[in-house]
Amino acid sequence: MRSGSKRLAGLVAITAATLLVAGACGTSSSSGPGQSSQGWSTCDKDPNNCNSGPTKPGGTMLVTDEKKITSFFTADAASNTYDQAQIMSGLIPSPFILNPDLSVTLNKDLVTSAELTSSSPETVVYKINPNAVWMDGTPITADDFIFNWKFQDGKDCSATDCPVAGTTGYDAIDTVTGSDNGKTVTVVFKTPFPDWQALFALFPANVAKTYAGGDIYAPGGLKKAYAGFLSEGGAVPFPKWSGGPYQISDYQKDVSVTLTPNPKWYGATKPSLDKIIYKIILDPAQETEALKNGEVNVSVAQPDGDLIAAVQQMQNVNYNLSKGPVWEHIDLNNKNKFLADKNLRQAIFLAINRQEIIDKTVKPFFPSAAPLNNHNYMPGTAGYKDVITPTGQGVGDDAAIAKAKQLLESNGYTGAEPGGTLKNKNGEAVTLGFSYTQSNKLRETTAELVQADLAKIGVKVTLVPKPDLSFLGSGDFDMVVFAWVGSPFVAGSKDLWITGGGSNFNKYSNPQGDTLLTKAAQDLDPTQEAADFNAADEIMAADANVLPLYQKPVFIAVSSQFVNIRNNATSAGPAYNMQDWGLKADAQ
Amino acid sequence: MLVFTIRRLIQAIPILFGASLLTFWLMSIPADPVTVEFAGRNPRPPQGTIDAEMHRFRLDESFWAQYWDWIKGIFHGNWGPALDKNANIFHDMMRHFGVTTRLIVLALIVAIVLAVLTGVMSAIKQYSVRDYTFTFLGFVFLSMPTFWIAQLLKTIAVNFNTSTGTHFFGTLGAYSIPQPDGFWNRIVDYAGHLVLPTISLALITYAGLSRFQRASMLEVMNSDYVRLARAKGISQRRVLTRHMLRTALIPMTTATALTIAVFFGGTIITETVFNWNGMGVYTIDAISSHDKYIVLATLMLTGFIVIIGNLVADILYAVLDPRIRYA
Repeated sequence: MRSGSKRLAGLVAITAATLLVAGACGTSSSSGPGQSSQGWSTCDKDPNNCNSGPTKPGGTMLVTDEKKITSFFTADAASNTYDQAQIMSGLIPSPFILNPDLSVTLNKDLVTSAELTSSSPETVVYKINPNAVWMDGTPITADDFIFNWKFQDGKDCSATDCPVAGTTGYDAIDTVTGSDNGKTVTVVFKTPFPDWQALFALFPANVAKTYAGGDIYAPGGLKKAYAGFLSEGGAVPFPKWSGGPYQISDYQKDVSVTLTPNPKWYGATKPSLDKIIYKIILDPAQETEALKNGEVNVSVAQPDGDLIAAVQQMQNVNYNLSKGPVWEHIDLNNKNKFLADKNLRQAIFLAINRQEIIDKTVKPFFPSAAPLNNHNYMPGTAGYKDVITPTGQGVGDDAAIAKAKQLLESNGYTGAEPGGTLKNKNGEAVTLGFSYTQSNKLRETTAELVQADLAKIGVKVTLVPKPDLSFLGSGDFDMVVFAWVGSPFVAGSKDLWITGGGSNFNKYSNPQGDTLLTKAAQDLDPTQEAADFNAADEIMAADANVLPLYQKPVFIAVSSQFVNIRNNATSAGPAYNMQDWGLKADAQ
Repeated sequence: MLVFTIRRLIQAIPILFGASLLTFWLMSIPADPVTVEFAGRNPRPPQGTIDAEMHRFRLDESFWAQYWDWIKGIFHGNWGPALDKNANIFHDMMRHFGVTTRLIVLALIVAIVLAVLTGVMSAIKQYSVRDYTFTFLGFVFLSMPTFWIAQLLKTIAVNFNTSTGTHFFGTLGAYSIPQPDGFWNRIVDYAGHLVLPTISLALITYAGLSRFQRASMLEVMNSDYVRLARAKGISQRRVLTRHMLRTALIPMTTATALTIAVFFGGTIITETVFNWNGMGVYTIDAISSHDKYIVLATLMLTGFIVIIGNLVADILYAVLDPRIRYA
């Protein structure tokens, strides 16, 4: 017994010593509280090319995946998630690539050209790379474009048979025709669709034929083809096709997905890795230890101060935080009996101090966080225009509070002062609920700061924590903070702001804005499109509907032995260049 | 005994039906999985898609129609739709159940052995330094939050691996991916992944059970038949093993049967921290995504196990204690 106690004491001592030694040995590979670790210091200025370098053949990369696979068919609404799209990036060819700097470039592996040849009717001609083939050797042709149009246009296959994630763009197409043995594809639109570059992430028509039992376009053919693709991950263990650099070679349900190079890959850069394994880790909090323990090599997680601090302590791990098109904002429900008054909405936005919110939420671990001043375009992109600063909203300093008070009092409100109770001209005390997702500490802090800000003009705010965002559609909120996932393709954002738009949860309406938004969503000239969207945005900003806060940081941490993998804050994610990933040429 | 068992099993049927109705009602209160899944998506899926998904989850039916469809489906092997369109809920649940079973069997063995040893040693030297030490340790582990023990063990293990340059301790899942080559390497790999969750689960379980064992042992030690055995000159060792321990294990046996039942629904934290795809992770993921029919299935299975666990505990009582007879 005594010897047992000694052994226990010895074990404790060894453990403590181990912890101390490990702590002492840890040398930071980071450059402090910046955007990137030292090894990735060029990522902030050159996001498209940082961490580039020659690779050597072989190696396995272990990547985190935070969601279970519901099916591999990412065109399906239930399976259209970021994590599943990341995996399928290795298999699904698209004519255009979303780059880390938010630019859109031609995918020359798939198409040698894709040009808008006419604006009336809008006509786009794609020239497919003659060498582009599916994994079974079938050439990629116009048949694939036609199949992808038909099952997603919302007309040829009903929503019951083909419950796709979206029909936007495909429902604007009139005809898709092939020529030159199917290697030239001509797409004619019946209504203008400026975001045509976002279309045609291709699923193979030849595989669809197999699932449909012959003719895809015979009655019920598309339904069978759709069901066939959906069964991949179930009755069909995993997709046995690929038109990208990798193929899926193993899938362990809820555990992992293994990718290996596609032997028929036709692209300029051949994959150098033997395997890419996506490990399903449902609790992001476990990724840091896994990274440290070498059980994963790449982590793409929601960042916070603890995560950044932990990664900064790791040897041989690089990280980067980038601003992306995901942006946090505060919404006011225009149907609320108090918030229906534009003057009150304006006063509320005047009183909110965005810089303080940023300073106390994201800035401690993301120093370059700054107020966002547009609802559609991100800073650094061609269309970006500051529509918020001229309104004075989001400043929340003494002058702004005084302006808010004056605005309220001149419109019949009383009690607009610190500690007061704001009452409208009917004598009703203005009390509002502020909803936020309860698991999100940053949003909780935002809610508390807004509560304090609005107390300065006498508005009583009650915090309303919610388990999720399911309440948005029903309009069961007064004020709410959440994020929109933006994109370089802005035409779709019309539905966020236009009267009756599917995602216009605030029920905002302005006829002049509607006219501009309708026009903007059909402008084929990007300059005109931006001018119209920004004109509509200025109207909306003046109406005080949504106050943009900041671009959310997107985080990636990667073992330093890998090159050509880098952060991509767009929806394309780091997998946008999967074929380039590899072991550093001089890696041990 | 057979009649008693059959009667208890028949009694379980209305209990399970009542539980099914209650859980189904409770699960209909929060937001539905379709609304949660598509909330805040940009672009929003077409209304036709949303309607089709609503129909797939039977959300266009009345409460009673949904409940009846669900119950009817269970008898046909269909436990309802899930967000994963390829899911067979029963099949998936059994797979996760198997993983949890693997985790808890070893943890229980370790916990029981530790609990019996420390409980007996504490009792036979009551109020000694040894007793106080075991009591102190028991309360320490009993009062430590599970997540804290698990996370602490994980941190120690990862630091051990990094400082020694080895990969013995696995902190993610039941085995490494990719798996190492060779039979023995795989055995070592499985063991390296099993150690931490087993210790984590065993420590908190042992702490409670050891208090049980100690109390039970003290009660037996002061009983007349033990005094008689000693008076007859039987050796202390024989009194301990043949007379005292055998009787003192009865409450432990029943407590263990109930612990197993609780474990199947209660290893959520350990499984989450170590990324084991067991029942706990399956349930918590379904709860967070409002995957209603998966939550219902796991609750029904947990309810069934609790009923069976109670029945087994009662039967064991009768088997081990000759004073108890069921009519």
